[in-house]
Amino acid sequence: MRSLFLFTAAAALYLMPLLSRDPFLLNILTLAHLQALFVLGWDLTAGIGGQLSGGHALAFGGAGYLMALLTLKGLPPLAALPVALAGALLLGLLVGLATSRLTGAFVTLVSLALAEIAHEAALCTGITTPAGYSLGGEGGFPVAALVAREAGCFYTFNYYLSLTLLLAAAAGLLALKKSVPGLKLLAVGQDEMAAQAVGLSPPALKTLAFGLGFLLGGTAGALHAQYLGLAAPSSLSLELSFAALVLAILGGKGTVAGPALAAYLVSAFFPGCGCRRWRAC
Amino acid sequence: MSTLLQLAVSGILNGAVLALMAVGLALVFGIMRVINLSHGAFFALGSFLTYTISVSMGKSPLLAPAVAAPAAFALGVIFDRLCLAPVRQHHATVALVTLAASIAGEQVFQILWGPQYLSMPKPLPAVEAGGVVVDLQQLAAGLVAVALTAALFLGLRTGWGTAVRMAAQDPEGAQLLGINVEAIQTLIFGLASALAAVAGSLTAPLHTIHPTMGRGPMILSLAVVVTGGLGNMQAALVAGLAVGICAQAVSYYLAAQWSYIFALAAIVLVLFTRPHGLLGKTIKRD
Repeated sequence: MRSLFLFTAAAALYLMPLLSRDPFLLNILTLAHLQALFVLGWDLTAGIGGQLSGGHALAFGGAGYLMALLTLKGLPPLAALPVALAGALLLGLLVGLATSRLTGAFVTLVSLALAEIAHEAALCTGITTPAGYSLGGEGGFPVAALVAREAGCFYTFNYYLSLTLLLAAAAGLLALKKSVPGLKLLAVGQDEMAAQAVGLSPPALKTLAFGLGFLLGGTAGALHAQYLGLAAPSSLSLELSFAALVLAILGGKGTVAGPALAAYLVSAFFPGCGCRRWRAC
Repeated sequence: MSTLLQLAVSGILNGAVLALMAVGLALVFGIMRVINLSHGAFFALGSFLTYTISVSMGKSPLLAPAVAAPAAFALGVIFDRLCLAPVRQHHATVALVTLAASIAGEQVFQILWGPQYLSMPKPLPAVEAGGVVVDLQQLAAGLVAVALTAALFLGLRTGWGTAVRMAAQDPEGAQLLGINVEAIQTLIFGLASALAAVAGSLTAPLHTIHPTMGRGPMILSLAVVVTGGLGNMQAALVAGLAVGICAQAVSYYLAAQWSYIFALAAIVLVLFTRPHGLLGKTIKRD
């Protein structure tokens, strides 16, 4: 019953642009897709892996900044995207390594501290391009978009890209929950000592939980950066980390549809209620 | 040499205020086993009330802690009874509710005092003694912080304090002995909020005042508490002073923003080497 509802919702989202090409609608829905992808990443680390990460913004902003720095060096955005994702995965594994010996509130705190370090460093540092522009700091770095902003299909392309990746991530999460590695993650998340007694390795699995969660969060961050054209310190902020936490718990920690639904509610429904041009929708 | 002395003096005074906040936070964690994320909001409340008393009403800001403390205590008690008591059993939910309170608090400050950066005049001057410049306001803040922390530790040795310590160690056992653990949890939350407000009130003339000013002190005091070992109040005190001194040194030799990064990085390193905090004990649960 629930899968029928989800399937219908996904189909409706795919068919939506055929009914209306309103840029406002496509914009808020794209942002909602990316927010949902971001929150699903937190849900993987915390709902499945049991590690309440307080620094998920590090994945989002880290991938965004990587995209910015790579495109600044001259790499085309399409080539920069996989590198940014690999970078996000690496960041996640590093955070996982830093927290692998910790439990409970300490994990939240160390991941929060690492994200805050990145946030402060992003605020403080800046570079000057050969042309004389000063980039970085509060203003952030510019990011080249995958499809040029001036192209007519910019909004539609980003809409479908973010939607496809979101559904792929959701399907992947559902498959993970039923698979053997997923069960191992769940076991470690629920009771570390018992998992260790059964022969699993909690540090390795906790590192994996962070890595995978950061991969999803990083995908959202990289796409968001190229969509906005900007990688700013606000993408590493405490509010974003807390937003992931709050939305995932609100939607239902550990489920797949719940956090995505909460993200849609906050990113698309509430802003969309302010839309006064009903005749276009 | 005088530079080191200056750094030590400023660092100890800063650290004393940080320790005051950290000790309150450690107390709340010891009693309720939850991370109180609204601590920063009460710090900011103390600063804003001091600003109002000093600038809008024209009274001396030295009276401000006496106003901020009862106000924060009352607000803390009301908040605890209304929002925390129903969900006491679910630790994650309590942390989330205190987070929500801090966000709401920031917005309320913005509505009442506006989003701009405010500053208030310093009532006490800076004096020089033996080559060291001491800001009398900072000295007053540090002394009051030390006095309050000492009073807190002494208070825990009294009859009431013993009941609090019993409730922290074993809530169910204390309830069996007839101790009203719920009332103690509410009062301790109010007390910690009052301590945070006093810290904010004392340092108000030293910082710029804006709605989100509570975040930095909250993260720092949280980090200090965790590094010392959750629930260990003496360790929170020592760690607060240590972090205060080191942050001052980094701020002097590098730049002000890097002291925040340094404090966070130090916490990450400490926890990496000692997973339960510097002086924390591994708690065996069966």
